[in-house]
Amino acid sequence: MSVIRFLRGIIKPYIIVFKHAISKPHTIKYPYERLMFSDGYRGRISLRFEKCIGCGLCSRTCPNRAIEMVEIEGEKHSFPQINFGRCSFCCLCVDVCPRGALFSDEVVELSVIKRDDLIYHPYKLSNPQPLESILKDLKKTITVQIEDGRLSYTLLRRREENV
Amino acid sequence: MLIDEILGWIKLNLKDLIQIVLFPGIAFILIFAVAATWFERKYLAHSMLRIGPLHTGRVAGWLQIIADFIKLTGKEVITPRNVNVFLFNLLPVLSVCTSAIAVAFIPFSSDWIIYEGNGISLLLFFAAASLTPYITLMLGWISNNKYSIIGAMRVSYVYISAEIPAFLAAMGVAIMAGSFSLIDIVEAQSRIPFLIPQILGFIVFFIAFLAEVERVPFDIPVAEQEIVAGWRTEYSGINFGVTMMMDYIPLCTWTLLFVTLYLGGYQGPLIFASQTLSNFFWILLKFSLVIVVILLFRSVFPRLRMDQTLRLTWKYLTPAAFLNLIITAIIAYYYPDLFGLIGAS
Ligand code: SF4
Ligand code: SF4
Repeated sequence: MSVIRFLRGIIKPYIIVFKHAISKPHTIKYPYERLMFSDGYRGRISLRFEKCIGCGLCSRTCPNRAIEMVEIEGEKHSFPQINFGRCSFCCLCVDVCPRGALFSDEVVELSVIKRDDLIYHPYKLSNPQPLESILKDLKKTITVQIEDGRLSYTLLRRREENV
Repeated sequence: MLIDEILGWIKLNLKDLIQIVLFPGIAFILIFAVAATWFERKYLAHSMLRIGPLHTGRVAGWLQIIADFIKLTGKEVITPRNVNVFLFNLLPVLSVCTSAIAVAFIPFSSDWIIYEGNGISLLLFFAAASLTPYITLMLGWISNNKYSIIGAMRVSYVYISAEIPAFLAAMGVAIMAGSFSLIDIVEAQSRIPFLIPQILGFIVFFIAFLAEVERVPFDIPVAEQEIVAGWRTEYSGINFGVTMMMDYIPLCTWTLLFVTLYLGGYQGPLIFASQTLSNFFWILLKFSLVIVVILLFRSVFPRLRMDQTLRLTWKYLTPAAFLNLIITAIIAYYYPDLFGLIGAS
């Protein structure tokens, strides 16, 4: 019996790994392909400029004090300015906003060279850079789906942005 | 005058020259070393569900190995203090040469072999292949580094303990074929490869030759997690590249011997018009399949400890190889007709 168990211990892992070797890889070619996350994904925060009423709730609720209300010349009220260096992407600001002016999308490519560039002025917040212009080599986007408890990547075209 | 003489000499020895320079000689071994490095990276990556080399070269990053080679040649060759500079730089090259010699005795077809060896090519193979660990031992010793010397000692331990069962198992094959000549051994397998009648020897030889070529699970001499890079720790630049090749050249020669002894070597049905070409096809096909099986071990099995390896080889493999040898000898002495049944002499 123990001999059979011993042989099974050698052959079984070998077969599993061999199956992996001839199946599709789980990793993707990142700058050329990108996983698109589910709808509720908490990524970059953006602002719908015309909807904001300057109530400042977002600034008050932010646990990291990442949001500062700034005055803009020619506008009647102040607007939120987010420091993504402090933001933890908790999306409390999105939830608390009474007008639905803040929203989060699935873009996570926020790295910059200077730390000051992480501070997004309301104008910059309201003009989110599309993913294609951040990842210039992007050729294909891949949507993650969960089927029968297993993660599977379905090759779909990028969903339309519902701005 | 001189040119005519040289041309005449080349014409006279054309076949030998092709064998030595192209196939199965230098070019074949070097191309195998490069291709196997690339294939191993890509294959292991896929077995771990990764993608592996991708960018350099259009198809599956095949130029990555060339790029690495160029990078290695461009690097500074650092020689440690207090070493014999001449030997330190000579030994890597020497080790590659000695380990490549063994391929000369492998028949790729009944008339395509670099040196027939007067009917003892199996013994000559073992003699040539056993030179390599000496050089590895010297290489580790001369590096003046504790990791190198530990790695070199491990090479000698593993090699000695694995060489004996491998040799004993190969003797079973020699008894069955009634000859030490590798060509005779292959011809004796024209009906059934020795894999079936010599199944015990087959298993012993397979495990033992994995240990001799330092593949996982027996890569103890270069165990990265324990002793940096084993005997090649002090080497840098192109010397390091040459020692990396040492991983693949013994793999090439020993796998060819394994195929020749147990899987029928170049035997196979005629598929090309020329007998020689179809012999090449069959031996290379079997060779590639064995390589594919062996390379995958690296992502399946953990490394054995030194004492586990020694226990395996001395306590299990050597007695099993003796048992196989004794059974084969008894059958050869009392029932020689049985060998005739399966086509062996
Ligand atoms: S996501 Fe959270 S941390 Fe970031 S700005 Fe909004 S409230 Fe602050
Ligand atoms: S973004 Fe929303 S919560 Fe923040 S100030 Fe504007 S309206 Fe108020």
